Amino acid sequence: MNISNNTLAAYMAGVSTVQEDKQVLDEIANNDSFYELLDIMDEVDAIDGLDEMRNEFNESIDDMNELSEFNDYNINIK
Amino acid sequence: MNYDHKKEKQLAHSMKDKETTLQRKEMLSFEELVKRDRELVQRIVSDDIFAYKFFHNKCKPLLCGIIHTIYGNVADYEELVNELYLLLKKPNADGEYWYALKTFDYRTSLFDWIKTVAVRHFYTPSGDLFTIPDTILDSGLAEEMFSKLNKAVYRKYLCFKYLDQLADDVIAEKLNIERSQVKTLSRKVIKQLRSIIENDYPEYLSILFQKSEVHNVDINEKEIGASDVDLRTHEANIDVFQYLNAMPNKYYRRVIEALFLDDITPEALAQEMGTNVSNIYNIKSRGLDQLRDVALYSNEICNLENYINLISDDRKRAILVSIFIERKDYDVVCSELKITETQFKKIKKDAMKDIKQLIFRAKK
Repeated sequence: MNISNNTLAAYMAGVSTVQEDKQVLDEIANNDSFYELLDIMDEVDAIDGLDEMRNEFNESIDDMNELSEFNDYNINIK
Repeated sequence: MNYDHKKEKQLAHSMKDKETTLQRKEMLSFEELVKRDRELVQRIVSDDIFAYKFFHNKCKPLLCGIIHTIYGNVADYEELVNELYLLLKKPNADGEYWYALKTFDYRTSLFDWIKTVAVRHFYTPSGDLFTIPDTILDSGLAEEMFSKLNKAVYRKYLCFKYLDQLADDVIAEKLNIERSQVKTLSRKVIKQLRSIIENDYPEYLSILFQKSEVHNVDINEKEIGASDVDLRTHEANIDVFQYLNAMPNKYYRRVIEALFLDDITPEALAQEMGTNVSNIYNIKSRGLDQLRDVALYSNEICNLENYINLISDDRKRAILVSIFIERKDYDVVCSELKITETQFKKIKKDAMKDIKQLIFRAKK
C-alpha cells in the first residue's frame, strides 16, 4: 500500500489533489484490502456522534492544559 | 472492479466532507484550526505527560469508536491505544522522536489525521484473521455454525467460500454482486460469525480466530514488504528474555514481565509495587519504549561497550557504563557521580543521543 497517511486523510476529507485521487483509485483497483480499508473508514465516519466528537476535539485548547496537570504519577520514576 | 462505482463513492466522500468542513468552520476557521493543531503537535512532541494523556484521554471517544467499529467489544482498549501511541512516538533513524506525527501536513484537522492513522493501524484484512481447520469442516460443525447467521447472503457466502472453496470472483457472480464487494461482505460475515462463536462455541474461538496482528504501517508510511515480514518473523523468534534482561531499568523490566509474561493485572501489580495504577501504566509505556530501544539496538548491544568508549565526554561515558554495563541503579549512579536526579536525567538523555548517533553512523 503506497498511499501515505496524509493522502488518505486528505482523500477522506475531500481535500486531496487530482493526482492523489488517481493514486487512491489505482490502489482501490489493485488492492482489495485497500478497498476494505476505505469501507471501514466510511463506517467510522458514520459512527453516531462523530461530528460532535470532532467539534469537541477542535473546540478549544483551554482544556488541553488540564492534561498536563496529571503529574502525580511521574514522580520518582526512574 | 467497477470504476463508476468507485467514482460515485469518491463523490459521496467529497460531498459529505464539504458538509463536515462547513460545520467545522462554524467553530474555528481553517487557519485557526491549523494554528491550534500546530500548537498541539508542538506540545505533544515536547511534553511526554501531555502526550500520554492526550492520546489516552482526549482521543478516547474517537479511538473507542474506531476500536469498537473494527473489533466489536473484544479488544483491549488500553493495549491498542498504547500501540498507536508508540507508533506515533517512534523515532526515525536519527533518533528523533514523534517522527510519524511530525509527517502530518495540516491539510486536514489533527482529529481527522489521527482517525485515519488509527483506522489504518488497527485494521487487519478480514481474511487474515479467520481460518477453519479441516477437522471442523469435515465434522459438519462448520455448517452448524454457519446456519446461525441471520442473513441468507451471509450463510451463502460462508458455504461458497469455505465449504465449496470457490474463488472470490465466482462467489461474486453467484451472489450477483460486484467482485469488489466480496471483501466487504466477508468482513461483515466474519464479524457476525465471530460473535456467534463467542457466545455459542467459545471453546473454538481461539482455533478459528487468530489474534489480530497489528497493521504494518512503518514510520515512513510505506507498507512493509514481504522481506521485512520474513525478517520480523525471524526476529520474533529471538528469545524475548534476552531483550528483557538487556533492559537497564529494573522497574521497567519488572512491569513489562509482570503485565505481559506473568499476566498480572495492573491493579495487582500496583499493590505489589506499592504504587498506583496510573503509575503502572506510565511505567509500562516507558518500559515498552525502552524494550523497543533494546530490541532495535540488539545487534549492537554486544558491542555497546565499544560504542560507549567512543564518547568523549567523561560524565556521559561514566553514566552509560554504569547503567548499561555495570547495571547499577540510577540512584547509585547519582550518588557516585555526586549529581542530582535531574542532572542525571539530562546527561543520560544527551548521552543516549550521542550513542544512538554513533550506532546509526556505524550502521550506515
